[in-house]
Amino acid sequence: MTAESPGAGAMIGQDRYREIFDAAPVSLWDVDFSGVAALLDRWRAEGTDDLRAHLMDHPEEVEGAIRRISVLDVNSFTLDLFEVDRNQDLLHSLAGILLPDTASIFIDMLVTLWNGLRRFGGETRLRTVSGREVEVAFTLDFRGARFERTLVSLRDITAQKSAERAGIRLAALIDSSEDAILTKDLDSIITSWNRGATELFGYAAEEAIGKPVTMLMPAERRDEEPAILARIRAGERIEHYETVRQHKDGTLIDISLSVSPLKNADGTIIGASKIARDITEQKRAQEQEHLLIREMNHRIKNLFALASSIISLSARDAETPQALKARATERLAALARVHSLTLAPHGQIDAAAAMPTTLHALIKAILSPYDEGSDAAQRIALSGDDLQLSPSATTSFALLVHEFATNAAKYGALSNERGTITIESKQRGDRLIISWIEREGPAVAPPASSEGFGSYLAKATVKTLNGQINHDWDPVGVTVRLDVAVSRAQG
Amino acid sequence: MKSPFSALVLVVEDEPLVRLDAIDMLTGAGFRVVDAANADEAIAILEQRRDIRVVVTDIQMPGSMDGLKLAATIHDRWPPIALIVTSGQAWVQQRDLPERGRFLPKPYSGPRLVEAIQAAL
Repeated sequence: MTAESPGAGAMIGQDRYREIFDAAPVSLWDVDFSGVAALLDRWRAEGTDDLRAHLMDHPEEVEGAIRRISVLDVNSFTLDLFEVDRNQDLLHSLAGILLPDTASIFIDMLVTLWNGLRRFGGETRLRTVSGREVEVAFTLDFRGARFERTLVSLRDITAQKSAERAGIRLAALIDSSEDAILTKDLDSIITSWNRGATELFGYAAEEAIGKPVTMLMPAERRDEEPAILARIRAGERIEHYETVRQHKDGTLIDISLSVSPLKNADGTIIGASKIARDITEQKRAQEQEHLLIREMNHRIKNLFALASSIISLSARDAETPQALKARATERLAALARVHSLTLAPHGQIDAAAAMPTTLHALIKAILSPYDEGSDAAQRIALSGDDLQLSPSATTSFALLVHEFATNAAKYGALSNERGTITIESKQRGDRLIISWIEREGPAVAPPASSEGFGSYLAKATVKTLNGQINHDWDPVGVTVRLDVAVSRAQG
Repeated sequence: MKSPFSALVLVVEDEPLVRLDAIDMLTGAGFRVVDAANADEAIAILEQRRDIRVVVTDIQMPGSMDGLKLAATIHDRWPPIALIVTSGQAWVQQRDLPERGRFLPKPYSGPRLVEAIQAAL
């Protein structure tokens, strides 16, 4: 530009203005708003007080105002933006490019003019003649006494808006993620930090951003960082790397880490994004599972040892293979009944593997085969203090009660129709006293030999439970008193 | 020298039936047997009796020490005593046992137990 004097502008011809108008990379409109000015006069003459309220109540007035706008000219950019071929198309179809939600902006514009202001701008959505929506930033510059030379300019911001929205969505996504998501530059300085990272590591975003990422590493893990950085510089991704990081309060957290190179628009690696997930709970569950499997293995092996002992000890007092089979099978069945008491309910398995059983539940389970008769419930009475038993005491008690019951069924109160058994348990400090009293059975006498399985088992059991056992062979019925240490019975 | 079959064996096992079975196997083979239901009882017996030649102990037992600790303690305090350590767990290694200790997996039969004791003596 060589012209410097104020009058130089006048030297530029109409054609040149037209050229500038058409070449401008914005949508420019030359619009006559005098029809709108006349409407404003009419509303004033009618004594309209609150124009906004009036227009809200009369949408047809807004439509009337739009019809009174006269588009005189638009530039080439405008034709491209609204996908029209000829100027005339747009000049006659202004209503066609407005969307229903443009009405509120139109009301704002009218109120602005009403209030005597000469400029109005904002952002809105419009549509092209083919129906595609475009987002625009617009300004209206009302010139002339009756606004007859109003200049409208529109900038297409569709791409910018959609990028902005994508950015907002991405930010919302990152912020709502339960995973910790952070970025760092190639000097390992933290450059962004989401809410998940605050949750996981305990630092607020403003405490973390600008600090070295090594502050999240326990001292013995700091040597991981150069290795991670080297791989990032080489453009590699690191996926589901299991490591340990340190919370602000010093606690160590098991995490699974994925690290990806972060590139700028040219594709140059400028840092890394890290996604960290807390796997402490997962690790704990895994350990729990291993513990459970080990415990199960252990119990199974123990059961084999126990079964093997039951068979070889049952052979002591069995005269025939059939008798051995019958006794060993009954004893194993008694153990199986009690074992099912200790099974955890489905889906509630924990490391303890076994549910504690109570003494009374155990006695009921063992006596259940004898409980099936019509009046059996009246024949066996169980009362007194109940307590939980340790798994090993459970086995001992089960076999012992089973021996009492089989003896009663063979020789005692359960061998006739009238016999009764009263079982009472009493806890006195560390002592548990269980009385097994049979009455109304056939007359009883002490057994000839005390070398059978039952008496062996009784002796061994009371030794383990630090107790004693007494049999009172009263002819009206046997009374067994078992006195054991509660601390041993509960493990 | 006396026959090894008259040697005194201490059986340490918390499960009464398994303990009984072991006692039965050993007395049947001619050994003399004393028994304990846990490590503390075993130590008390060892402190009183000087004639125990062999200790057969389970590993998993309630109380202040398990069978491996008991074996280590016996090895330190009564070095001449032969040790047989038994367990249902398959992963007990020789290096987990004291020098003269032997591992016998559970369940074991009478002949296997007797064999192990003879080898240890």
